Amino acid sequence: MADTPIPLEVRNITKRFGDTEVLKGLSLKAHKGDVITLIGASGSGKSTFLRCMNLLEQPDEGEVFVHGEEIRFKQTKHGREPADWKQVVRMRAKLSMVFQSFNLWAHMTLLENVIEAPVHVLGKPRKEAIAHARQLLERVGLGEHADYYPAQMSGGQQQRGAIARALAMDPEVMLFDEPTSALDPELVGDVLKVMRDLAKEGRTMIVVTHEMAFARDVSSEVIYLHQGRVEEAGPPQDVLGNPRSERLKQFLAPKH
Amino acid sequence: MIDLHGYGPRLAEGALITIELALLSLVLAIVLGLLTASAKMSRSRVAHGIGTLYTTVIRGVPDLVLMMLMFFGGQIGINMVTDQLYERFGWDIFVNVNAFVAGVITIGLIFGAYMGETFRGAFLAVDSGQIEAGRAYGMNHWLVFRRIRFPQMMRHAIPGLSNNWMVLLKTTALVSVIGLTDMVRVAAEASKATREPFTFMIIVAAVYLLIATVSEWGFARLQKRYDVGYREAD
Repeated sequence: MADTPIPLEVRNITKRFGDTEVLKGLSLKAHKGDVITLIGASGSGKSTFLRCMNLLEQPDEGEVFVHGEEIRFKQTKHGREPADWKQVVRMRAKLSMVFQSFNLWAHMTLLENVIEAPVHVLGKPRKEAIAHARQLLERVGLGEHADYYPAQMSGGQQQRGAIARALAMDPEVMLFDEPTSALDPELVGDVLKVMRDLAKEGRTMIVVTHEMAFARDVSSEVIYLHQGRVEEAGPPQDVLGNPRSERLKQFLAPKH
Repeated sequence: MIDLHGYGPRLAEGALITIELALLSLVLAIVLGLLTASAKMSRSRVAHGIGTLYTTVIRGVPDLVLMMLMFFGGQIGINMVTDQLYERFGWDIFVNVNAFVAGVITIGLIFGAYMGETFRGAFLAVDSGQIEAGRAYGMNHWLVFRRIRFPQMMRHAIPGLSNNWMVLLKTTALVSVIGLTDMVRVAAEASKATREPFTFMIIVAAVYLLIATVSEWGFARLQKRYDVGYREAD
């Protein structure tokens, strides 16, 4: 398997907002089947880092490779930007994102949400997309909700719907940006269960989360960020089970 | 029965002109409005400047003055250009400013500025997460606009759009000044000839009211269509 391209790799990403440097040279390599969780306090840069991977934020420095293909950048008067937006659009179609606030398209039914990008971005025949979408909705436990609008569903249902939307792209890598943080506690479990199943079937996932149990049980690698730097990284049993850094120990300590 | 003294068919023709004028102006105003909104939201300073200049000038000058400027001033301007073409290249072109076209352009230009503000506000009201989701799923700029921004923006734009349309409709009455025989001009001529202004003006008023009522109904349906998915949330 040595010559299959790495699904996603980023090197030395830096990002500043005004005078504040929020990412100070972060790298990450996601091999097929990896589940990498990014943890850290708010403001540590973990969401920004994730958003740099599909270029929702433009990194000021650093390289992004998707499936072995390097994204080309150029300098403009607005800062560094991708040189070829067509390339970005193509690479984004390989990286599905699940957002903290779900962001299902409010004017479409759940089914329409799920088939939207496959039909309009990937050019999949509508019939085929609908059949696939129904399977996926069944899988996330929303088989009965295909014709609901997002506003008619609970947060947990919306997020599971958003995961079905992400799966419909048949993505190389799934990016999760704090997928359970906006949910009522009793709804978190259903979403995490779906994510655990995805990890089990070998999906490549990068997950920004505060769910330590999920990070411990599911990840192949945990990265702890502090002020835009990697403070500690490695397998979960080391990083979470036996943290070396004082900050990480504090971060993991039960809060009263 | 009201006696129209034979003006019935001409009034009907005038009403048709009013409707055509209003609808064509509306189309132009919507196109200009969308362009203006994009220009004003653009990060290009030039585009932003042009958009602001346009809305400031148009909204600061009376409609009637703009219309006369466009119709009479426009003819002089075009004549100057065609004279030059004749002198320099020997091209003999004659362009006559048609009152209908001048009316559509003027009204379209005026309401484009108002529509621009309506659309801008409506675009800004769309949740940025909705747009971001589109981009994250590999949609290009145009696809995001067509599939997400536009339909979601319309929901916020329709009340303003409907308001602008009502004012636009009534502004068409001004074209009688530049010689277009719309419904108002026919009625004014008929009033003079027959000395029965009330008869003709009440008919004109009723026709405007009828168009406005039908429009209200149309906009209500449109609103319902673009509200799909939101009703439960409100």
